[in-house]
Amino acid sequence: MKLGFFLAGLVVITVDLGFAQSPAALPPPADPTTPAATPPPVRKGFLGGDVPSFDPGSEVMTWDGKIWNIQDQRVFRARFEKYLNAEEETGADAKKYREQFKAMLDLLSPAKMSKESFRKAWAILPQASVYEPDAELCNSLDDAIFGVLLAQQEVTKIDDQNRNLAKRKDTLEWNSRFAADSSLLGPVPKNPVAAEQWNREQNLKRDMKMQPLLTELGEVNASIAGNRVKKEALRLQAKLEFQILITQLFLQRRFEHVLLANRFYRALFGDGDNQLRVTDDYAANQSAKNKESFGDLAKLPKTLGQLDALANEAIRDVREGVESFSFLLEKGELKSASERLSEAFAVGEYLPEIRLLPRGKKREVLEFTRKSNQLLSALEVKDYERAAALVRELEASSKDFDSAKPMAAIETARTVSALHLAKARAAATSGDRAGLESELRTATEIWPRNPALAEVSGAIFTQADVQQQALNDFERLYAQKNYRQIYEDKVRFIAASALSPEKQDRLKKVLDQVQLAEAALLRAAELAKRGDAAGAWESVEKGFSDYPDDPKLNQARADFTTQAAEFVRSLRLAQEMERKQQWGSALAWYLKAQQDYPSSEIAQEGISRLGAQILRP
Amino acid sequence: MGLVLASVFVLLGVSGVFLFQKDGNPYRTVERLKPADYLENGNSLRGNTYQLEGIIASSLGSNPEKGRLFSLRAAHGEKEWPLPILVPPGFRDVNLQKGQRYRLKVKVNEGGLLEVEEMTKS
Repeated sequence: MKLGFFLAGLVVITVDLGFAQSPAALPPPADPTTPAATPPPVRKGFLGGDVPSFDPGSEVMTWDGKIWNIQDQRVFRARFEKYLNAEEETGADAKKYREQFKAMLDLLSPAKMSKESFRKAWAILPQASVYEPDAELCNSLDDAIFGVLLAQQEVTKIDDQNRNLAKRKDTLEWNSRFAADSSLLGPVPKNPVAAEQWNREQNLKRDMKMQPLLTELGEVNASIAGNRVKKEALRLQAKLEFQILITQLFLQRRFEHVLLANRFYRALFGDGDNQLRVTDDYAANQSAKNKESFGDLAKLPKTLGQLDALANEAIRDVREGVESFSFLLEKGELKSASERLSEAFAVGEYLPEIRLLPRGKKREVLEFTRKSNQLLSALEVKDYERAAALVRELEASSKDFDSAKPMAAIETARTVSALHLAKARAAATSGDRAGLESELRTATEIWPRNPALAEVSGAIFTQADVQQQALNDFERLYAQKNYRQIYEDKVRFIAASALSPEKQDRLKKVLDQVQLAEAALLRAAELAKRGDAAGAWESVEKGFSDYPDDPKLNQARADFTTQAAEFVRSLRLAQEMERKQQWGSALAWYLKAQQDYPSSEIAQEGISRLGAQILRP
Repeated sequence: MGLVLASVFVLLGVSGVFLFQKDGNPYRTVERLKPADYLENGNSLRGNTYQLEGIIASSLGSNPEKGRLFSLRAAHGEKEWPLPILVPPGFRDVNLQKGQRYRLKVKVNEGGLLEVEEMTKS
């Protein structure tokens, strides 16, 4: 995980917490109200505009076009919470370690620098690495120093070799010159032809003497040149390896180790060359994967002096952050105190100011931090009920907690969710199944733990079940011709069949029929009260002819039949005779029925009907 | 002498009864209709002729070709039976009204209906 921080309003550096995770892989800011949604303008520091920048106002980090909120990182939050619970490092080991560190820095200070002080400081390194929180970084530094010294030994050997080679070169050059000069010694023949022959022989002898000398001289020159290159390469390699270690310590936010390593570097390489070659030599070939894990080396400072200054600045910034934390804690401003401490922790997790902070002080903000983290988690998982409760608790515990942002997010989510639930209800009422599912899904996505969600969806689905059950019941009762039961539950069936025109028509017919039967029964009851049993029977009988399957009509008909037996018998026989086309007997019986009950409509109708039949031409 | 007188009285009595009856019911030779039988199965009586006495109860309709249809309250035993009678067009001159008592000679026609053949006020 990458973290950057802004120092002194100008310098932006990148630090690595050691988690091999790129900003791109990090989760987005949890709080939807945080300004992280819009990247802040990148500050143009002296290292260019592409370096990470941290906006203290929004706690948003911007780097390579990616943004995140340092407070939102789960790993960081967990690490910070762990730190708040940890005991301060004030044990004897820790004290000894601090003293050893101080002693080494002191011995390597420019004012006291000597071979003796270097050796003393170097001797302390293995002892310091024993302290567990050091993570054996002092040992790594010790190894690096040893490696440089070995390289320097090799350079010394090469120097000795070159000196010997230079001596040999001098000898060979002198011998060559002597051989060249002595070749023309001795008497020269006077005969021109003989003299010419002699000269040729002398030149041949000289060439044969000088040939091995010149060959060896060439070899010596090549060796000297090769040794020079080798020496430079060794020296450069040693520097690079040491610089890489320092850079690594810087990226690990081991700023004290950076200062110490820098001083060792200066003691080891006293040539005044402080150029940080890591960026030049390695940055160009750095793979994307490596960049993702360790950061872009091209964006590192260009000299060791800059790295040293940045480390010092980071240490100072952390010290100020811790002081600010203590002050805010005294004032009861837990939010700001927590933020200052988390910022200081993010930068200087391993610095004494952070490690020595008393646990008592840390625990004062622990509860606030824990609840803040819980609030972020609640917002991340959209548990707005829990988030609202946490906001109230945080408001109560901290004077400077600003609830506006989280509450805005919570209220917005609640409102929008309620809106979608209302739409879901409307869709359910209008039978829009697709709309219902869509609105419920949206409401669930916005606020998954909305208590009203279960209630509403339960009610809707129960309603749907009830509706379906009612329709099933209607079909069953209709098939059984149990119209009376349909009439008894008419409210349920009317509601259920609201969306089915075909069922509505059938239901209307059923209800009309039963309504008529009911009217007949009411009329019968009224007549029966007046002692008009025949009239009551006739009323029921008329209803019965329309709806012969109604049990209530059947029952009433049976009751009134016994009360008006003679009249009923007459009518029955009249109808029977009519059916047999015995018009005379049928008419006689209708007349008999009318005699029994002069108001009988059935009898009158029968008489009229048969009269017309008989008189038909 | 006594026997002769007794015979004369019996003869006079029988003659009186005969004469009295002849004046009151012109259809005395025709069988009386039993309403219960008619109501039970009028068709089974088709073709038969009966005498009947009753009160016109109401008019049930009329047709120039078929005649007039009335309801007659016929007494039989202790009961009164309402019976329909068809008065053919031949009796169109007879002014039939509700409440009038008539003595009728009726025939059960093919339709099982009591069709008036003769009628006299009583």
